[in-house]
Amino acid sequence: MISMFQTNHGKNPSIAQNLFTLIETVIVSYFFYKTFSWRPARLLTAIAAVAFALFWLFMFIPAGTTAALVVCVTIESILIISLSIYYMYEQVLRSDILMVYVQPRFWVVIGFLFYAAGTFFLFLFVDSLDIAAQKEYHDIINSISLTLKSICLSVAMLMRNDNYVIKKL
Amino acid sequence: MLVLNILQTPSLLAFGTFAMLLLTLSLILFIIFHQRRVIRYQIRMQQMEAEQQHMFLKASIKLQEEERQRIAADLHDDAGPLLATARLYLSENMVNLDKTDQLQSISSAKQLIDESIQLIRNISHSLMPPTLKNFGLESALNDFFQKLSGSGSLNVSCRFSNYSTRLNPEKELLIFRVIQELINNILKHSHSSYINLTQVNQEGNMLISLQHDGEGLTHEEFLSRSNSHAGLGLKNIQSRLKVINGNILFETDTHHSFYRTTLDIPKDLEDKPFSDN
Repeated sequence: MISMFQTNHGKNPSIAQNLFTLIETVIVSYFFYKTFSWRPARLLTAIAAVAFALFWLFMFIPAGTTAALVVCVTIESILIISLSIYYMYEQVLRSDILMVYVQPRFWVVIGFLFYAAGTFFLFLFVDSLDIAAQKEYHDIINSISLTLKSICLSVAMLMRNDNYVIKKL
Repeated sequence: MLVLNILQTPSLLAFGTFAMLLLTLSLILFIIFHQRRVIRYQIRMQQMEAEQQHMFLKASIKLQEEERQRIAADLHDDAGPLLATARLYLSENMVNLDKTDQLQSISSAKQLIDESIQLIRNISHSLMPPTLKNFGLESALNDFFQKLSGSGSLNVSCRFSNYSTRLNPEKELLIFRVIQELINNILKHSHSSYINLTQVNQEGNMLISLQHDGEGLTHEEFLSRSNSHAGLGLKNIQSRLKVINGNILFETDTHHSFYRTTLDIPKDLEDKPFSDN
């Protein structure tokens, strides 16, 4: 919203977008940290989040805001895709879960995964496209990915949280 | 350069994005279908286990009924007539008889009552062998093998290497019944010339092996028969071993000249050394 406001007022939204990327990555990493049951995986997630934050600082200060954004978003996508795949692997190994898709967390992860996978090539090649193509592709791919992510997150929010019910009982 | 140009074209971006979304979708579908398959497999396993439990239960009930029928028949056909005859000897008319006849009647009645006592003792011993109760599995099996040897038609030997720690009585009785059933099967079906029983201890378990030179079962045959609707005795062996968490293994040599059945019984903390009994 801030970046949209800045764009409409003729300002460069890169700083807000860069900050959003950092905050989003840290929050998503924290979500995965809380979700994973294997301790080394949690530790690696925490290390990856800290490493990303340091890399973001390293890129953001000297490299300029737009260049940093492209690299950081690509790395963020790789990180989210990797963590999501590990989450799926952990779910397959767990014998106490009967249906993985009845958990709200599964839909949250699917949402992250769809968005990260869908926009991965967009952010990777954004620099090599001209301005018109950038806008065209950005609008289409980002809208599709965002819609998929929103649908998944909505499903997750509408689902009954069984853990809450068990705790309540 | 050409490769780099191709890589930078917008079509690659569209194709890459489409491929990534497709891969994500495939991954999700794989996870869901894999889990469904696992669930179906688990349900099938549970059904099979329940079916097997049902078969064991049926076999156990049938065995109990047969045992009851046998005891009822022994009591009705043997003890009943003996006691009825004894009662006839001791009827009211006896007071009208002369002293010699009275003594004769009392003696006959006493003899019949003694026979009834012996008969009831035999029934009781067949239910729970006193040697097993008082002296343990080793003595009971030695006793049982001596009786087998007494028939003279079979060479039998029973050797315990170390039975200083006696198993708990319920476990001993179950093992004794399993061995009785196995020997019964050997006598009925194998036409063997010898039966050899050995006992050894191994890493907290007790191994009892029965070896004979007749016709026997392989482990695959045992499993298929005990899982079929026939083979009541084999089902009983399995259900008894299940109670004590024991295992059974049927082996044979390449020429099928010798057969060996091994019982693997885990020892519990409840099992006590002989001095404590």
